[in-house]
Amino acid sequence: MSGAPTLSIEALNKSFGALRVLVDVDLSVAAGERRVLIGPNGAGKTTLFNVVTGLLAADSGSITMLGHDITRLPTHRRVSLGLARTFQITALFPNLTLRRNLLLALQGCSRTKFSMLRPMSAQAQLLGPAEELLEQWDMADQRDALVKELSYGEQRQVEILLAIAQRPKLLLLDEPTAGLSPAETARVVEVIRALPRELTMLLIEHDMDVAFQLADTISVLHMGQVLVTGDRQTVQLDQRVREIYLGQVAEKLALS
Amino acid sequence: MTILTIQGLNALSYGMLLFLLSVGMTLTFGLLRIVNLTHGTYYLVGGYVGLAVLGLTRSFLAGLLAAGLAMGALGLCTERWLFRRYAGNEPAQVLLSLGLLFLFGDLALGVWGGSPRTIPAPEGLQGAVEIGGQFFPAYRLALVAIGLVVALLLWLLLERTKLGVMVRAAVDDADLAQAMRVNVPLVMTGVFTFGALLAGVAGVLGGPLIGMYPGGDFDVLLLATVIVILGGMGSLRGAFVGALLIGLIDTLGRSSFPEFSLFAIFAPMALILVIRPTGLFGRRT
Amino acid sequence: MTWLPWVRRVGWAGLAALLLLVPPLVLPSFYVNLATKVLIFAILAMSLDLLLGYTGLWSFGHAAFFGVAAYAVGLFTLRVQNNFALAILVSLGATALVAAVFGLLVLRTRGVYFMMLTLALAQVLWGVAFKWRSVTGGDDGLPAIPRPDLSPLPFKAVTSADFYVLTAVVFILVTVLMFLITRSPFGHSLEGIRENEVRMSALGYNVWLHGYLVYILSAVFAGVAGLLFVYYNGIVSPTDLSVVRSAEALLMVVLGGGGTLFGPIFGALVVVLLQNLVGIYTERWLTILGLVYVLTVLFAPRGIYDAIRRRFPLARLQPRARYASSHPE
Repeated sequence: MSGAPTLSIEALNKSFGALRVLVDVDLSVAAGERRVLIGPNGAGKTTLFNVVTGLLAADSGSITMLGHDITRLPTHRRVSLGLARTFQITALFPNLTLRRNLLLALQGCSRTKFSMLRPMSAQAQLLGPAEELLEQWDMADQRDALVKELSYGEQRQVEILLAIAQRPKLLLLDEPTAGLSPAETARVVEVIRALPRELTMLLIEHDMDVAFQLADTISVLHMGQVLVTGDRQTVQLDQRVREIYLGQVAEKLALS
Repeated sequence: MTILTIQGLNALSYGMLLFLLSVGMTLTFGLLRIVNLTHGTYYLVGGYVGLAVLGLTRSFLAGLLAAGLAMGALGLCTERWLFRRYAGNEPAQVLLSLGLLFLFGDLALGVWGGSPRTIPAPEGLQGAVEIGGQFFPAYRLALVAIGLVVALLLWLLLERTKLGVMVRAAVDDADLAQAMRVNVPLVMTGVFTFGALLAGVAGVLGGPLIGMYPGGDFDVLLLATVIVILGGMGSLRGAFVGALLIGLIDTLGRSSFPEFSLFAIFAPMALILVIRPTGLFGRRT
Repeated sequence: MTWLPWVRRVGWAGLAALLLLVPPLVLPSFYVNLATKVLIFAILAMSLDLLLGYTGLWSFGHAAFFGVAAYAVGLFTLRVQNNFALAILVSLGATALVAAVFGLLVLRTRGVYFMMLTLALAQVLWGVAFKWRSVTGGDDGLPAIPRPDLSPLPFKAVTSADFYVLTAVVFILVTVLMFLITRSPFGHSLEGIRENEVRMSALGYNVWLHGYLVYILSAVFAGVAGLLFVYYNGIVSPTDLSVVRSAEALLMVVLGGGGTLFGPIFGALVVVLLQNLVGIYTERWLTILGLVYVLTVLFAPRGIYDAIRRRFPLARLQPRARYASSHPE
């Protein structure tokens, strides 16, 4: 884990009208690091994700990924450089089968997606990996099910599955375990932990147990600003963090 | 100089007419989030109804009233029984209203025939009025006055009354309004009905100027659509400004380039949409 | 059971041959002409479906491309020469050009704005066709356009039957192409865009570019329909660019069922038949059209084809996504 950071955010600002949602955000994630972003609701976590991925434009500041300045790049260009994300509110292709969802993810960064005259059924280089991934995640027998017919838990899994299919270098996970049962949560944690160690991850989580199982470092976001970044102890001992969470999270941090 | 001011009055009066026509559509879009294509029908059939009642009662006012009520009723029925079922389904609503537009337009053709008809202006307004040494058609002046009065009343209603607040709340955020105990479905039906009513009235008011003819519903619909998109959907101010703008462009266009006035309307709309996809005063939905 | 797909393929080829041969030999020319019209409008409907059913872009001005091609053919044939191959090049080229320009304007919008903008642009063209009498003949249009000269090929396409065969050949070509496109990775991308654009961006797709490409593609196919139509009809007029024409195409797709190639073909059949047969009994064709529209939305929102498919699964005219089985073909 040495060398230039995978993701470097400097002095990022974003406002909606008079509301300042991101205020001079500085964040740096090293290669292979697992960073979790915590903070109360409305702190700006998902907005930060949206700005980093390009769904929203930053008002000022810069975002550098793997040495490229991606601040003004459209989303799909950032993705082609190795970025992938999951959405807090499940964003899949509801009327398409699981397999087709996966195929779309697999061809996202390949030239094949412009191929007009050869059928998808002939694209062995996509079909093979799709099948493998489905097997790996124990979802092979649902390959022909329409995604909208899958359970919520299964859909959240597919959400992550699509992101992983892209073989990213930087993965942004927005509350991957939101709304999942303990069993499902454990499953998701297991799969994320099994991901290649070189993969850099930035995670938004409310569930502290999950956060600590998955992440090395924590950044606390509050009112659009990064209050503190550090390991579990550093954050838990931070005075401002204690104030904000009125002891709740801090206690949890101390207990775990 | 004379020509300019006459044209100016023409543009202004035409713009006011277009405003009355478009108000309903812009408010309906703001609420229901569809462009109700049947709106053109309210104008055309309203005009025909007004003409028929005028023929029976010899009263322009009666014609106005009848048209307003009839079209209001039509709007009410179509909203309650058809559009309400497809809340949130834009394509279905557009298709539905398109179907109704064809249906009613063709039925009107069957009933009233293919020759263009006009409505005679009320007796008191048939002459000309002298202002500053020039003569202006009284009817057009009256139209401008009516337009301004209606605009003012609507503005007052929306901005200064409790009803107005409810309507604006429902337009801005239906879910929130519902949570604040605003009877959103009732407001929606009310706005829809009112818009249809106003369009029907506009149909009669426009009778002496434009008249009714097969395809009139389409022409008027396209104009209203342009105005609503131009001004921003859901914006009263936008409808006013947009209507005056289009009235101006259309009138000037016709007098300068008789050949190209029709698509002179669409070119600016296309241009504005390209630059500002939500219209001049609209907000991103 | 690996011969089953081959049986299907032969079946399809046989059906195609049937389509080609039977009508001109068996039916009187009124019906042959009707069949020609059905095929032409089926092409138009399929082209719109590519945009609407597959990509989710509701174009209300598709007749613009139909009309541009028709006028291009008309002008070329009357003013320059009657040559089928050149006419195709000129008209489809013109259509592609118009689509390339319009595409730059419309693809920044979505939903209702997209509908209105496409409608507005089509109206601009209609206005030009209507007013520019010196070139387009204005309201009267361009009459007396002869059937195409197919030389150097040894065939003629003058009689109803011969023209029908030409149309059928083009129809089959277009259908095969559309079939390939919708089954291809590109076709899949289109459906992804329809389902969730934001997700597609997040997967690395340049959504705008895909939209632009399919817009031009579907325009060119609409142009194919337009070019056939003008030869069929012998005259081109502003009606071919009108909003009614766009609405007819829309109805065919919606009635038949969008997102399935066969739905629009079916829709075209229903609408053309209705149009021509209803016209015999009453003048109120538009009333019927409006009624059909309303009834479709109310009772068959996913199209008649879909309603039939659900009722009679054995009569499935369209095979499901082929690679859904564990042995992709």
